[in-house]
Amino acid sequence: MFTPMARFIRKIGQLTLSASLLACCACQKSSSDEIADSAALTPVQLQLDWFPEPAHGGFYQALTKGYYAEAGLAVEILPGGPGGRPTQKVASGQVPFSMGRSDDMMLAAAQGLPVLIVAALMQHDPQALLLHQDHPVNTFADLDGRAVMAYPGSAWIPYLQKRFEIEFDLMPMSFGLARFIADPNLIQACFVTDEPFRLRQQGVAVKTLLLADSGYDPYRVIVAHRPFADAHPEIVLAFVAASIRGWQDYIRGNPSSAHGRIAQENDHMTADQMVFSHSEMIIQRFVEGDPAVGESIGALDPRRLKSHAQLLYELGVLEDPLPIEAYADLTFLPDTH
Amino acid sequence: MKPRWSTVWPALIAGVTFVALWYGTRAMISPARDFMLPPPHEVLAAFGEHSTELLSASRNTGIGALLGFSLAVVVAALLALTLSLSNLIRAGLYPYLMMMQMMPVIVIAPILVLWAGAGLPSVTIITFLICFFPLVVNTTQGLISTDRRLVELFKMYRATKWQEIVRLRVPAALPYFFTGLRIAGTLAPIGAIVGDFSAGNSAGNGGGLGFLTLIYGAQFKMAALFATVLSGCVLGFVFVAAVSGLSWLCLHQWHDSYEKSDN
Repeated sequence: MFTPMARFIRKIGQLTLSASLLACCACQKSSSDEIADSAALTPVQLQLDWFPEPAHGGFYQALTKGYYAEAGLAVEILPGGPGGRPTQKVASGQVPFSMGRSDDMMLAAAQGLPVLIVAALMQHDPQALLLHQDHPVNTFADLDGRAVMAYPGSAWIPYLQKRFEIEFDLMPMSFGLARFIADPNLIQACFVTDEPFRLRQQGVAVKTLLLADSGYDPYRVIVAHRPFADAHPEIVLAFVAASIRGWQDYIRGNPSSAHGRIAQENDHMTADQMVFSHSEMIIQRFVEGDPAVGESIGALDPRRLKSHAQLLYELGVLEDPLPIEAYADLTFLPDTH
Repeated sequence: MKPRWSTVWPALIAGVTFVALWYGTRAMISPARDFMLPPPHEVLAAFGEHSTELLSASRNTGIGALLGFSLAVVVAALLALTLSLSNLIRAGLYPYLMMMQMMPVIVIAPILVLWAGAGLPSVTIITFLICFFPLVVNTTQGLISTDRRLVELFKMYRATKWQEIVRLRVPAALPYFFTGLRIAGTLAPIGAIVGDFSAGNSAGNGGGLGFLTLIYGAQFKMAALFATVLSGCVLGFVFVAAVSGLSWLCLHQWHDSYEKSDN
């Protein structure tokens, strides 16, 4: 009775194996095509924190416009997704570069993970709470007694609870919007550059509370594997400079080159969505920040980093005070040279 | 059921070897990567440091596991009895039972949350779904595998169908049922943790081990993560020990597998 079944399973196994082998050959081919142009380029990988999207636009701009190649780098951008764990990948040295939020990197460094913030990716984090338009919650203080779907363990949770003297329950993220659409009471974490657009397209009226407006304001950052940065500072320097150039061009210039590549890499990304995300990043100045207070693309203010680490310590999220050298090295930024 | 030294000391030696290998592996990892494998004493320290959280989470996961497991036992026993009555019913329902087992829980979880709400209800249903199949299949197999000669004997004595089921088929199926129960017992805590991981809720301090996994993962607390894993193991042992005890109580007086053998 089980023999045909077993044979069937083995067949499936073989098929998947050969399919993945084929896929592997295909990806090696495409990346080797790009690298073949100049064998002198140094190959490095950047691990994204999600499926390719405009929040990664500057990197794709630098890639497609040849800024990385000009800097002597053959950069391979690796897509992420739910459970992609970019911080673990960069910490274990599987990739030299990744990205994340500055507060998460502080937590990782405090636990002994060899990660190093080398530049800002965005001056302010587009993470927000997503609610239906007619939801009674309008401020952070209104969250008292509610339940929020978010990543448990995020440091903004104890911040909101302490700052506004409120309590709320947590539910783990379910990656998708079906639950939000079905449940008019659900409050969930989102990126203001992404989910609100997709929901409005489906005819769902929504509002958002930007977490940065609560006073909890981390950077989004470019992260390096610390031993890699120690061994190859010139590569980190080149990567940071070319990435910042890519982001400047993506935000101030024509984003179509990056968008073309993102659409190729992510079938679910529509042109409308990319236009929305791109303009939202510009309007809300997530990437550029406020020049009046010295913020600019890629820049890191050591005072802001230090005061954030101090905040995490005061919240009890960090068990001990964490010196800036433990998690960041600002000498890779262009204007420090 | 008495623990015998002949079974305890090999396990002890294996345990000590395992811990030694653990330290050895850790010593071989370069310092830049040793965060990946916290040494055993750090895991023990994490147990102490997070004991309140771990205990409360283990209790919550244990409750979810027990509820889902119990529900699965009751429903599976009733369904197995029904299935054992006729070939027609078996042929009709088996494909759908298989389908139930094939449903990927991770995919079902967001739908379940919509129907049942996050937290204990969803965790219970997910545990039920995971435990249910081995119980039904084993119990049904037991109910239809009764010794032909005994069935004929019952017929000779003009036993009613009901007498045949209660006096013959059910007792004869018990060893099969307990095999299913033992598999389900190891699956129940896993089911509850998976459920909690994807459909949990921290309301009323109700987060379980899956929830803690998410928190420690987000905060990169590796030793605490290992401690969470071990707490899940302990919970699994509790379930299996309870099932084994029950199995011994029901079978040791008559079943061959409990024949005295001291080798």
